Amino acid sequence: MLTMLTSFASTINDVLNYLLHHFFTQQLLFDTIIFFIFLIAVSIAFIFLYLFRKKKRWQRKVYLQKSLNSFIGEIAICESEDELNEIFSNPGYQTVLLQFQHTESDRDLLISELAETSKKFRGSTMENILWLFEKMDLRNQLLKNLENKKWHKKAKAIQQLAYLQQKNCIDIILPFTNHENELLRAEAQIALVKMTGFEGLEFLSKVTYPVSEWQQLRLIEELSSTTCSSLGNIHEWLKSENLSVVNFALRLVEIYQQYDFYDEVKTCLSHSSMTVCKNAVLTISNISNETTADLLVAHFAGYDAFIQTKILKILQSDGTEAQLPFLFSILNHPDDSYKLEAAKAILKISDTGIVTIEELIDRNAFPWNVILPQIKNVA
Amino acid sequence: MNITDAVFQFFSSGILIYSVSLLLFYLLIVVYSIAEIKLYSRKSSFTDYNLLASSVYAPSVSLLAPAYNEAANIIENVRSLLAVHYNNIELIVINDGSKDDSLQKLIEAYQLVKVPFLVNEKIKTKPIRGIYKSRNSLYHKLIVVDKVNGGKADALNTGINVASNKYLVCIDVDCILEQDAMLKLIKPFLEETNKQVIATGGVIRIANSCEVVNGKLVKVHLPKQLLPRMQTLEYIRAFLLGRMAWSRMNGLLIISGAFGAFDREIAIKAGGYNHATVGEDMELIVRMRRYMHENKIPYKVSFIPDPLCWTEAPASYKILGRQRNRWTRGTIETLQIHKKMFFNRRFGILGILSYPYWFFYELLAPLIEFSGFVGLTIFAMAGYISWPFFLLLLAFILSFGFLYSVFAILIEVLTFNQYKRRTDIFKLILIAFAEPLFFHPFVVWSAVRGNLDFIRKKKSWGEMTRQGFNSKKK
Repeated sequence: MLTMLTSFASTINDVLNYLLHHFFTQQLLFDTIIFFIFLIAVSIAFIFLYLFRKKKRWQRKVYLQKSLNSFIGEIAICESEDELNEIFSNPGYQTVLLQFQHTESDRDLLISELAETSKKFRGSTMENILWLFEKMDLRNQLLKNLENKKWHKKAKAIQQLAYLQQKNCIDIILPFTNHENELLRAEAQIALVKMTGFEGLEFLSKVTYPVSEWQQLRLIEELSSTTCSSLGNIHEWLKSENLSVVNFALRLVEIYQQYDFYDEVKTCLSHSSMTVCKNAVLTISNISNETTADLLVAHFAGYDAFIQTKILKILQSDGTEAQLPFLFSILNHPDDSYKLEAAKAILKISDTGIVTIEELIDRNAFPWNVILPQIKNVA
Repeated sequence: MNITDAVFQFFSSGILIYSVSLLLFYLLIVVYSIAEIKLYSRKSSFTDYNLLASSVYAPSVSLLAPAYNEAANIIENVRSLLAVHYNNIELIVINDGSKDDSLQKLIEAYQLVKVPFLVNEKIKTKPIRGIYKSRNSLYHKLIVVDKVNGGKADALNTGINVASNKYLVCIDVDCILEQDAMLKLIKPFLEETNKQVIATGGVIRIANSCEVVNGKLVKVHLPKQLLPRMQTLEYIRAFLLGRMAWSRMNGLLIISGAFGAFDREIAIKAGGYNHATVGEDMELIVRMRRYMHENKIPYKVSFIPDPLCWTEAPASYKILGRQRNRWTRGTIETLQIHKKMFFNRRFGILGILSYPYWFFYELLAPLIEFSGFVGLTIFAMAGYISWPFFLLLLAFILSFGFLYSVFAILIEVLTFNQYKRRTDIFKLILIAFAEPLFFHPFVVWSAVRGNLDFIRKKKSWGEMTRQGFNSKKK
């Protein structure tokens, strides 16, 4: 054993000895230090050069924006095409526009300014901005950006096409709604909704990738500025294999109070996914009828704690005397928060509920010595 | 070869191999963090965070702020937290048995009354003396919990028990948040589709010398004092390079206790904060990750490179020493509690990479650095190594340290560029050269003392006296 250990230690020592004398030589250390010093010098030079260039770029951008703003301001208030042409051919403004023809990034800046302006306006002002966009043949630049290899360039182009209401590009954007790059996909989905409102949601029938909760919030926000017109495919989305589509459809039913889809939502209460069940519970409580409370009680046992607590809270507003036996049974639940929510619901449903509760429990023992004052305090 | 030669060879080669492997890790971290920051910046350019602030569908958040003897600033701090840019939120201030009049001040300022309130004690804590809510509807989001003193971890656990919302955001009551900090912190929970995000954290920055008006940071300045200025560079390096890289690998072991968000359900299932350690923030993340692994639930711990929270850094060696001593003990305790994960393939990248990295390059680094320096100096004096080789070795380590710091400054300039004046950047670069000589040796020494205190079973936090911000009221 001792011989083995000695032999092992000797081998380790030989390896270290080899490393020390062949790799970590003084010359190598010296060369590495020189290399590091070179990198430090280059990095410092780059930092200050970058700051200098950044300042220059910013100054140029501010200058271009300033000269462009007065031009766009004039264009925005034009009332006829003749007036637009007159301003456009003004030599002063032609000089301004010429400055945007130097490089692609200048043209991108011009598009970006037009897109930003179009976000703020509607009606004839928006039409004038679009006239300028067409006149300067900027769509080709955006379509070119759409073919760029970098995803963020493509996404930006899609975003700008949407801001500039380029509806004739919808067919080009459509395939991106199921693109493997999630950010590109998200921008394409938003672009469709921005340009066509509820019709733009058609992508939900084909999308195979999950629609994140963040994206759902964005879509809902985008839809909030348009009138609800077409939710015809919602029954299809509620049965989608893509769970995020089902969840989003449930949200749409809830927000837009789509009572017609009550039965489809009811089916979702028995979904294999707990997230879908949770959303179905929330949705059905928003399109409820006289059978909803019993329905929720019937499903109660199969749900996790989060949904069960939600149901108890829903019963506080939607419950009837028919659910009282169920609620009284919950007063014996081992989890005190269940007791609290059930007691609140009983108090809301029945005028004599509190008397019955007090008969069933020991009001001086925990948790009832806290729950009773709390629910009375809230009531 | 005699025994002394063998020891020398083993020691010097070991130190060299360790140093080179550490430098290689740092290089890997740089590459990874650049890729992650680039992706984040591009994604951010398409993000409108205000959407989350105004949406009624934004997830609900409970903001937990433990306070102990904070009477001097508690009113302003709570006002600042109530003004956080997020709608669906409740603010829970936990008065951890303060000996001063913190509670009385809160009661008077926010018209609080004691209310009956059932607390579902899912995590065992010290007793609650009372729960207070405001009579004024203006402060309806505020809940104040008065409890028996039990330390920061116990106060946070009480907050978790009282909280009713889906996500928890734990914050040091004296931190200053960026306007959109909450929005940025919560967004990662909504983005992920294939994994459950269990915690998120953001960059903490040094607020010394910055201008603060009514609890809001209005102007960023580089700290005027040397120690906070050196910590500014240290924080940039640690957060922008280190944590971003680990986040990309999904190997993060720590979310700063000063400002971090957690999934409430998972935090409770994992058992909440551990009050047996002084590194409760790191320990909770490790335990939550361990819980997810053991239950085979795909998950992620996210980190965002935006500066979200500004905090006051210690300005004296005494306070800094206590802080670093505590951090060291916290790291040792956490790694000891979860030693099962060490090189354990069952825990994936956590067991194979994160834990060993923390063990070898965070926990052992100060000890090896200290003993390496002392040992090699003795060997040089004894003539085992030549002085030129010793000095070259020192220059090699120092030059890499400079390079790493300068690179962190470069990334800062290319991305968030908080210090707008070129003179500030120049000062930061100068600090990069001064830090390894004046600051780093002290930090190493404090860590060594932390190890000794751990052996002596010292459990105290150490008093952290603060100077207060450069604060103005308007």
